Amino acid sequence: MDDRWLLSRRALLGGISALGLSTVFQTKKAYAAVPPRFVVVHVPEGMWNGAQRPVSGASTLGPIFDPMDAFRAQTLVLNNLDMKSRSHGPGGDEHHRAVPHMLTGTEMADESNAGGPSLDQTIAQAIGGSSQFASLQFAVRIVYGDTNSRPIWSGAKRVVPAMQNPWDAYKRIFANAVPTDPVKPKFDLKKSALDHSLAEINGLRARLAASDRERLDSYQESLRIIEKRLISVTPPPTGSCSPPVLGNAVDVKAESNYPMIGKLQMDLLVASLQCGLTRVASLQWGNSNDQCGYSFLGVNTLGHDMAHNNGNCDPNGEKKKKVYRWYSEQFAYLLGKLFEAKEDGGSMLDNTIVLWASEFSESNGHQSNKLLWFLFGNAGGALKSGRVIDCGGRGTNDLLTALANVYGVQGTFGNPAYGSGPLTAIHG
Amino acid sequence: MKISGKLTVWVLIAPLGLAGCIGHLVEPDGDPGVGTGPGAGGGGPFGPGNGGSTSGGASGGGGGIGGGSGGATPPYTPMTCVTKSVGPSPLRRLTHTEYDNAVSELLGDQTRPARSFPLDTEEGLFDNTASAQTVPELLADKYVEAAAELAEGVTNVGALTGCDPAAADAAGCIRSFVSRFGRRAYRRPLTNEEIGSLTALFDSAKAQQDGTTGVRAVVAAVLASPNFLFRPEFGDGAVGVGGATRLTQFEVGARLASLIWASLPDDTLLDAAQAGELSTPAQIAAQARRMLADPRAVPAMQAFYDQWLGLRMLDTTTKDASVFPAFNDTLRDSMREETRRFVANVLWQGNGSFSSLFTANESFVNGPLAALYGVNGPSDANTYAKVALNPKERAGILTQASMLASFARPDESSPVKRGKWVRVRLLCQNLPDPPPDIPPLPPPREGTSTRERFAEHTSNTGCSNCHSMIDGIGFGLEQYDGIGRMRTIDRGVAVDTRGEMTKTGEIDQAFTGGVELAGLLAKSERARDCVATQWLRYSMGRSETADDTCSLVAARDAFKASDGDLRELVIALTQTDGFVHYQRPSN
Repeated sequence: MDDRWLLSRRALLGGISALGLSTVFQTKKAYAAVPPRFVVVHVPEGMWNGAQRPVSGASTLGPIFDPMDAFRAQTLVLNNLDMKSRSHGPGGDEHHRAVPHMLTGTEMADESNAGGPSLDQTIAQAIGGSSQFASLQFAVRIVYGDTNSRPIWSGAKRVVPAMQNPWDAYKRIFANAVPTDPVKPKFDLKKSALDHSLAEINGLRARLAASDRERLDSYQESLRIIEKRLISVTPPPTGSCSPPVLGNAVDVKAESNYPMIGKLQMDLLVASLQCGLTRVASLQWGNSNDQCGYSFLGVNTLGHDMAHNNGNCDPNGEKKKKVYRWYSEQFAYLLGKLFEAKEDGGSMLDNTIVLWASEFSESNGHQSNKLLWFLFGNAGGALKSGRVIDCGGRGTNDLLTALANVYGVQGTFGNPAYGSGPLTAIHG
Repeated sequence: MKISGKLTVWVLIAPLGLAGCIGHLVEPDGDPGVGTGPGAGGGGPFGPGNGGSTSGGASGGGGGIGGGSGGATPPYTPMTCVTKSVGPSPLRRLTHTEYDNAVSELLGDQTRPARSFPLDTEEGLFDNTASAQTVPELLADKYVEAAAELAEGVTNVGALTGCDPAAADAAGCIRSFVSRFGRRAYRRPLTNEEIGSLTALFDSAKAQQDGTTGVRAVVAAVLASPNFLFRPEFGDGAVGVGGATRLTQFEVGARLASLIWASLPDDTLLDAAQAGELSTPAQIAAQARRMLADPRAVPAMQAFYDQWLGLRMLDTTTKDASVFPAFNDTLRDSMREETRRFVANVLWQGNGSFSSLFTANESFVNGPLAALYGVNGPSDANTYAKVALNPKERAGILTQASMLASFARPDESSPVKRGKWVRVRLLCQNLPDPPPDIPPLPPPREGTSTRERFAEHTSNTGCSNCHSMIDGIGFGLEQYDGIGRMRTIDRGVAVDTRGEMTKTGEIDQAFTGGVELAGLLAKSERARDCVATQWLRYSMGRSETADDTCSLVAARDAFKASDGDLRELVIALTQTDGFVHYQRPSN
């Protein structure tokens, strides 16, 4: 069986009825040009005092980040960024503030909500429209639903939750790619329920107070996106593409499964990009106020306790180093998958920017200045990689703005009060 | 800026900043509505305990956590109601628990599909914050998918509808099914237009496929409907208290079902509303009592207690196996089960009193818990027996393993986590966030107890002003180790269980050990009032505002008058102006 791409009968039929058969195959052509992709990965809690950062001109990324040495040439180290918005506006403690600020670059709307879209969602608006999914969010073991675990927002007060369960995610993402029942039911329950809901929302929304209408509108917008997806044809892939094999489902909340779930989510993320199902994706490792004890590394100390308390449970930062090195290995895996995905004479990594972001720099003080972030890949030549840049305390908004510009989103990203123009140094 | 009521799982070695504690301890009681945060000023801390005087019409006060160094804490003075008013009624969406209960009610489905929905945003202690109840694409996907799958799962359409949908003359029967099913799901009678559109959907699906599919199309449409997933309220239009309008009786029924069953109203409640018999306080109270006595109330009440007490923290509690080899998934589950059974026993078998939550030394143990508590009990993990624990060692929830293990560190106890748990959840005294740059806790060493290390840590760094409020409580729980076992020796040092309660303006005194601390809380008016506040937050899906003062006072007064009967507190809430009015949120 050709497993490179499985276009379901349902999708085909839907496509035929919606577009006409010839259009289905014409779509393939439109996807021949390799689109740039954007991926952001959140690593919780930042580093520790004395952590050795990559230095300019060295032959290695250093004792913590060297698992990624194979991709040194595709790595742009951004040292000394400052999340300037974080000390402004409403919100609870540093965890609650830093995560929703991290990629939005503006004050929170209220205690529970970010005040604007995150960078990935802005980029998705620009480049995601023709994909089956404008963006996809993956996460590994988020234990709380508070803003500690909410970096991704489609707008003010519009959280974009992440998929935590790879088996669920597989079903959602590849639903149209896997053959369904040979006989398509005549009546589409989903479609009719969705249409009925949209009609009822129309009747309801005008009667609501504006602040309530926002939440109803979020349902309406979501239904419209789903409606579009239900009737659209999954675009055929540009390169070789096959959904990953997941194996038997396991408990996604169990700490011992953290590495396994992480790997599966990375596999799904890369396959989604590779199959042309999305161009924008995010991956969250746990949440800020890290409640993973890293027992699988023999660490047995909660990430958050470790972050604060080197003196007690981690006297020399050895555990934290082990954990951070492990995250570097995960990046090496992700970058490797992107690198192995060959397309148009290069690799998918060449046509992607992966942003490594953490909400803190030095973890004990929960500081969001002196941040160490990374960019990997290139998005078709936009970055001059293989370097360490000292950003000199420039705002993260300047980086976010520069990245938005790369993807064709002009102007300043985030709240201009916390920026000073695009960080053009990333281009060389 | 308002500090949320959330107990963040702060690390807890974190010393709280001197400035933060002198200037701005947050006292919700003293400052309804406005809230204060570090640097924001205002609100109850220092003043004469009258932070409640706001334009909303409360007076009297919360008695702040007052005084920096040297200042005596003013006596705790409960708020009083001056001018009646009603806080806002934001649009509510079903919580995931409510969704599962609702589809169980409607279809008998027991698969609990919402377990695979994305986590709802939790701010504060509860998962039902209205302002965060959006429907992102991922959740909408789940709603639509679950609607279709649950509809597909309807195999016996005759039993559900009472109709033969294939029959040529099914229309009248289907129309009555749609009215009945829709009334349950929307918690009110459907309009003619709504009935028309759903029956048209039936006709269309039947024409395209068959009668069974027609019924399924109706079911799926209802389950994805905003009128099912949200709980829109508009009131009856008549002017009520404080510029609000009275709820319609169906809306009252919907609120009752959400509060007491975490589900939909049953036909009895809907019939009462339809007959105009859900109007007077007595009628509402009678329905509330009926509902509380129904088995559906048990898991719904449990949901409140789980969230208020933080029992869900156990799910992700991790222990260092080299320190606590006894801690495994079985023990974790046992701890959770014990507390649930204990609370259920207080509520349904016992006298339901607030004080017994803190004083009852009877609890429920299985084999692993019997070993942990050192009592005789069942030998296996699956059998639970009600046993009396040593009254010198254990008294109620405060001394249960679930709480002691959750609010601890992976490798040891945590006086800070435990102290903060008491302050925030039980006394409703929020604390400012710790400052950045916390010096590390000294490393553990034999011959120095956990207590000594924590004390050394905070006394050396000028953090003691705040930490005395937290650690003073937690130190009194040091006879329980990181998984809640009794101990007399900690790292070679005899355990010192002297604690001190401060800044309550009420139960401020030295105490020794968890049982004495529990006794103080059991008789605390502040703690009792705090439960009413937590229930109000949970019932309204938001933090309290000044306009809630009179409703809160009424609930507290009734709670007090019932000798702190936790069941009566729920009834009392249903009798408040806030519960029976719709106050359109300002934009």
